[in-house]
Amino acid sequence: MRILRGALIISVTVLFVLSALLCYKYLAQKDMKQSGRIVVVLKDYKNPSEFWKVVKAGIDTAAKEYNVKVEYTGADSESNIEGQIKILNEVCESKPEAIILAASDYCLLVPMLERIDKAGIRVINIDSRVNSNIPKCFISTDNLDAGRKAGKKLSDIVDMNSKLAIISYVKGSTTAIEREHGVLEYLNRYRQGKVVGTFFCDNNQSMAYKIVMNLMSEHPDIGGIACLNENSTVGATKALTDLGLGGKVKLVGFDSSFDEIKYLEKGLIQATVVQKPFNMGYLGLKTAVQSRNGNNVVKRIDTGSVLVTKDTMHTEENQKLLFPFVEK
Amino acid sequence: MNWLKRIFGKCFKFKRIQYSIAVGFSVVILFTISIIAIVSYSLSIDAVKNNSKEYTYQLVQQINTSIESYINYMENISQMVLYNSDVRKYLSNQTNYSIKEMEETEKKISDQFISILNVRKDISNIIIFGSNGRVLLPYKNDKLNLYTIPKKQNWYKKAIAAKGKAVVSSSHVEDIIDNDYRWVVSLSCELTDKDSNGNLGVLLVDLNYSVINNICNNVKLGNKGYIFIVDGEGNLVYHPQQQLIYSNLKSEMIDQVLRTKSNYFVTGMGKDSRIYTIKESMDTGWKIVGVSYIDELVSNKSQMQMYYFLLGIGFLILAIVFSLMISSRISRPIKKLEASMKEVEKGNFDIKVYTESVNEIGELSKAFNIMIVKIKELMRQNIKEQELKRKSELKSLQAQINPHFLYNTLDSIIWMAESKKNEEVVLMASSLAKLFRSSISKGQDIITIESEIEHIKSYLTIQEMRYKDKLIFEVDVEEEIKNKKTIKILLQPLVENSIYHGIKNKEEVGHIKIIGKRIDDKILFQVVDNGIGMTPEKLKSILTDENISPRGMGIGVRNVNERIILYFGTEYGLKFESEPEVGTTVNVWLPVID
Repeated sequence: MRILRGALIISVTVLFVLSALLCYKYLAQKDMKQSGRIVVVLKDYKNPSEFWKVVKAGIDTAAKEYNVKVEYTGADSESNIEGQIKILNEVCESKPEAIILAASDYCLLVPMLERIDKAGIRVINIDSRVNSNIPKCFISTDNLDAGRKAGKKLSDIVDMNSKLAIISYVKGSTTAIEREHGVLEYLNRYRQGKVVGTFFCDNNQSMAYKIVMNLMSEHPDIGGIACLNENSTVGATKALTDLGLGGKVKLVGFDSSFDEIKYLEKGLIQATVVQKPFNMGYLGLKTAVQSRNGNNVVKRIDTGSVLVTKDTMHTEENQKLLFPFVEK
Repeated sequence: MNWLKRIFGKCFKFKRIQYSIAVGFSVVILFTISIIAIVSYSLSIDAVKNNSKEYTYQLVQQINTSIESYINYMENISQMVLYNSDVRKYLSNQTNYSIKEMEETEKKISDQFISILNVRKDISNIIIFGSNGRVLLPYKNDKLNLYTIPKKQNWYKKAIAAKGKAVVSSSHVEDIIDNDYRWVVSLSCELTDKDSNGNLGVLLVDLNYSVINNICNNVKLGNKGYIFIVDGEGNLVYHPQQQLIYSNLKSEMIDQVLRTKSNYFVTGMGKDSRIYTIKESMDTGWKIVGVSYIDELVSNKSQMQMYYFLLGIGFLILAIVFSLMISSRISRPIKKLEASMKEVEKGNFDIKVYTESVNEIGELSKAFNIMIVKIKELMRQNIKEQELKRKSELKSLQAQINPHFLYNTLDSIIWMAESKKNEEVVLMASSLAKLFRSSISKGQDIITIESEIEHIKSYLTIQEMRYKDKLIFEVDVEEEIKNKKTIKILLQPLVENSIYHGIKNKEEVGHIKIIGKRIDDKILFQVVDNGIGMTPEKLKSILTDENISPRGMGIGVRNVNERIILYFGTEYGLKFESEPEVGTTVNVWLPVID
């Protein structure tokens, strides 16, 4: 009898101690979960444009809200695809919980992504797409839609007989292709045969400048140009201004920068399609956290875009998009 | 209620009292501990909540104070400008000042402004727009943005509308200066002519938005909590997630903030539940709102939960150990008693329960011991009685087949036969036969009184014939009791006794009378003789003295007495009344048995 009682007491005690330990472990695990790392691999990490600064601000806001640690890294320039692959490799070795990736190439990153996936690291793709099904979610501006907005605006303001041109940035870049398609959708419908071509400036202002200079001498009858990102817009505007055609040849640009705002004020640019980088960053991290916590996430999120003209540039909403408040 | 009872009944149906007690205790203790833990936990959570609520309010108040101090400073600047004679001169419509004089005045004002701007980096610019068309920009390198029309700007219109009162704008991008776009909060006020009250122009003081951004951004309200500011019209002055709100990815309860009169309101459910702490600024009309998440207010909530949980478990373990100990203490003597009982069941009566406890169970054990002793005693007694019965029966049989009597009787028969007394021979022989027949009585111990009477009559008949002229007998038994029962060979030893010890030694004819009657609920037989009687001493010793020789008087009588007592109890038996030379009466008391 005595032995039986002793056994009972001991077993009950052991049971309770075990359950207490289990609870403690569970709680401790929960704490660990909160301190998980998420690494963000950006396109031009060394010298980020306003756009990427705002993306970062969005990520930081979400990081604070969801209480996660975020590390930033990336290659030195947007066109350094090799560099990004190398960085991704290093990130993969360090085994973070998730990677938020702004891909610098559509195809070349795919093998690396497969390795990352094998390592059990979740990938959230932002801004520009990779040709893979591995990323849990792709968050970006619907560039086709953004392109349509630009195309519609251009066809609205350019008279019927004028020729049109498109200045794109990096050949092969998905975002560029989609924007171009969006623009062409409208121009081919309402200005059939008027588009002289799409030209690539390799994301370089002076290149864009030269392209436009040449273009205007070859096709003096061009009445409107669509520029698909910031650098091409600024380069093209400078060229038109120098040719004395500022405001006469209509220009619809993309993104917002100090120069573009000036041009918009001066009437050198008629409109610019502005993305929502803050939302992209915020949703990127939010989705990464949701995915890490085992929630189902949607495969595709469109962060949206806004066409801003001189008249609408000072509304409260657009001010935040055009003049992102980024602390220096 | 019934199903509850049933479930409880099922759950607490234990084979051992110990478990019932232990489980009962544990359940009650668990219940109590849980309630205490929950109550004290929620109380401490409440206390922490209130503390942090207070803290948040003070924080919001602090932010308000520092923002107001900036606004006050801007107002001071505007006051200073308003009463500055150089400014008035600069703005006056009079044309009698030379260009050089005008330039000097402008320089003086600019210098003054620049000295302020140098000291206060938080003020981004001070600009005067004169209604006379003059615009004073303190920095010489600044140029007006040609694409912006100041008079169409909100701050300008509002300043004019406010008629000399300072107006604070919401946060916006200042695009007055060429090539400069800064986020600012503007204070504008109309400059009026002291005499004519006419409009002289508008003063614009811009405060770097980063000042407000920094103040609000540096505030920690937990991990998720934040501060935001709305102006009186519901425009966001500052919000950490302003862009998300504009994109409808998030919503902020601006309407409710504007509507509410109190300092607090709570919104949302569960993890999303949060407290809005609101402080309205008197100077600006802004509302500074601190949003803190309730689950974060109690930052060490899980720690506290853990603490209470472990404490509860600790006490529970302690309680269970104690309840097991107590229950075993209670049940141990019961178990002991139970084991003893089992022994008794098996037939072992040489057992004693030792118990030190003085409670009910101790009493029970004691009673048990006493009971066992009693049972043992009774059994011993029973065995003894059975033995005695058998012995007495043997003896009575012996008495009945007394060989002396038999051969004496047979002698008498022979003698009578020799004297040709045929009739007497027949009577004696038939009486002898009757005597034996009735004494056999089919082996039964208990016979009817009638056959006992038959038996004694036969006996007396034989004796009467043997002691001719010396013995006369008489039997007088009530008819009513004849069918009642009695033990057999009851009267014969008594009659024998009377004959051999009372009448045989007497000169005259002896009389024996047998009377049988019912007295109340008893039957009384009396064997009355007129023999020599007994002395009181002899009378006394007749039923008790053991040392009477087997053939002496009393052995048969005592045997009768013992048998009556054995069969019917001590209230029955023999009573002797005797007087020397008069006779003896033996009273035989029996129960009435049908």
